[in-house]
Amino acid sequence: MENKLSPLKFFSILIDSFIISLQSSFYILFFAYIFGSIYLIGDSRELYPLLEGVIIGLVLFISAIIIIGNGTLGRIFSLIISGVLIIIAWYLSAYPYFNSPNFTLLVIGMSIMSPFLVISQYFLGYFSIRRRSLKAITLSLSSLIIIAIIIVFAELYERQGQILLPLRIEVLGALSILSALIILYIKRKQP
Amino acid sequence: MRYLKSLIIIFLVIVVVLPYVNGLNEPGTRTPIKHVINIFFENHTFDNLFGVYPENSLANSTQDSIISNLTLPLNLLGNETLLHRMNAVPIGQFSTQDPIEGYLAYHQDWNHGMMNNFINGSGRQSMTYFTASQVSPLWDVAEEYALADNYFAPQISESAPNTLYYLTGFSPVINDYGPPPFIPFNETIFGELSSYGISWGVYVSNASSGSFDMSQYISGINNYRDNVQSWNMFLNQVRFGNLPAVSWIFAQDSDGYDMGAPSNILKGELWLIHLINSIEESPVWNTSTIFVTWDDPGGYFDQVSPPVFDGIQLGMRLPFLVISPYAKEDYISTTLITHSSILAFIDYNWKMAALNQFVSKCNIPLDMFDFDIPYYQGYLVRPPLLFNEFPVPASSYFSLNATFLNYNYSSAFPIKLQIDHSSLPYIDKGSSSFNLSSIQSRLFINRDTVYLPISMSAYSVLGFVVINSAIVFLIFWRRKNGK
Repeated sequence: MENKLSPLKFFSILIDSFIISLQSSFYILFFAYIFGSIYLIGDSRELYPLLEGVIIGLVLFISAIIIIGNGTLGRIFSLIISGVLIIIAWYLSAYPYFNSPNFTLLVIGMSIMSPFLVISQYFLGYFSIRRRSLKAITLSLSSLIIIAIIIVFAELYERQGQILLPLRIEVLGALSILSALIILYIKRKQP
Repeated sequence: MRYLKSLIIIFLVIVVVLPYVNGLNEPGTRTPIKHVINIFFENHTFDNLFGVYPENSLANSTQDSIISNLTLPLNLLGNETLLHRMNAVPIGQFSTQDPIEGYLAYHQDWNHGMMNNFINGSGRQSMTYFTASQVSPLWDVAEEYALADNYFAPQISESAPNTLYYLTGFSPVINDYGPPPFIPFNETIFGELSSYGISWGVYVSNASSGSFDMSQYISGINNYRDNVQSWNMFLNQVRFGNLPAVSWIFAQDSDGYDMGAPSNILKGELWLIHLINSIEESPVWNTSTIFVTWDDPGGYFDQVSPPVFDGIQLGMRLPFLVISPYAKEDYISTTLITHSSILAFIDYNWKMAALNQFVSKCNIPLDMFDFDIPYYQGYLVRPPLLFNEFPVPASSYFSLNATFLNYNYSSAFPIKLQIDHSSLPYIDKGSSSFNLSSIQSRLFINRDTVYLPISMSAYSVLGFVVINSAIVFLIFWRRKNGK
């Protein structure tokens, strides 16, 4: 009975997942924007390999978090890995004349998801989610929300003529700031 | 009283004469060209429109004799194997399915210069080409004037970067996204012309918005709304001889004048012919040149691997036509040129500094002109030549009715050359390696910059990141310190 997930607990996990995904998506899209690779989502054919990379990246990072945990060493390891992957994403994005574009896109998609590794580790610790099963559920839900955000982002970007890209990231940024302020406010309210 | 009368007369004379004197006082030109007219279409490669030029498979023997005199550019006719892999657009049809466009699609087409991946990149519809049955009007113009077969888009990409190279000699974007970034007005050819006091105008289908193709990238262009006028205003200015020194006419329009697939290309062709005929009949003809080109490949096949020029990987090959009383007849230029070469010509002609470093390096296709040798029958320049072998619209705004659509266009090519081919005082193919840096031209802009205003820019996005990170840091710091 102890392992059964109550509706209240599930709702709490859902909120935590939403906050993790919002924060992660903002940083991921920020990096994609400053690297100039974000425009690639404007073509559905380009979006598929990118999404494949995104999904592979998310699965890898979820596995890594569950295996290495979110202790101090795990966090340092994640920061290093994330930094290296971001540099790879930047390098591939800055190299415009790539051949085998689908594979490159896949690697860009995977590498650029690495902020998720760091952010989710910190927030899992903050939300005191310690059980592996709860971690897996929270991270899986976060991943699904991130994928949904990216797809909606890509769809709106394409439908509206590939314009107003920074504004959309700013909206996501504003939502991230709002979610962070809510956490801060709730924490203050707690006795 | 007599003094007063004299003063009034002198004053009136000055008032009447001064504007003309001022007009005559415009900066001099290096060539007899006083009006450069740029006409810009959408989305076709050289091979798509001129791939089998000048072979008219429906031509009779009389036409054959002229064809045999025409120089064959590097086109599909020289490669039977390739030609058989492609599809001619059927007679009576004037459009194709739109090839897939995009930065990535074009790079797939290009395939590291092998030009062999169009089916996977832009799709099967990219492997098509038009024939005399559709593009005779264009071919007639090419036959009478000069055509470049070594003209490349500045980027392997879509409209935005290529059009910006056409207007500014550089691009801060590599695909159709933005703005931002914005290009400062003074770093565009409009800014340079304005600073030198040289008149310019932009002509669009609907001038009410004061905007034109990619003008949204140019910050400060709104202060020059009066320079953006309608096609009809252009024709009026041509008719009355008060055309600005440099004009840009954008065919981009929702009614299909721009030739971009899946539009009916006949509409754009006949619109072009109407403009050319109007210019040839006008007082500005003797001092004008018309540059016609297309913004980007649109996903259509071209066999020539674009070279790297001044460190920039150029895009696919595009058609480029020069129509002028000084243009060589039936001439093919193999000069390596790109959109910014037109800017280089403008800078050269009006003795201006090169707009920027890239423009200074771009070859200027002076080989397509003959400014020295007088033509026949006492004309110092080539006399006007009207293209009327086929139905031509009476206005720049028209609909394609049965008269236009049912005409047998293949019968309109080739047309009788203005000067007999054997009497031409030059060879019908050549190139030029002349550019502004070769004459130590100064640079108007030493370093291209872009504006990223605080609103909706990388800076404001960065601001959001900083604020969010600060709050998140505060959250974790409070937690760690038990606050």
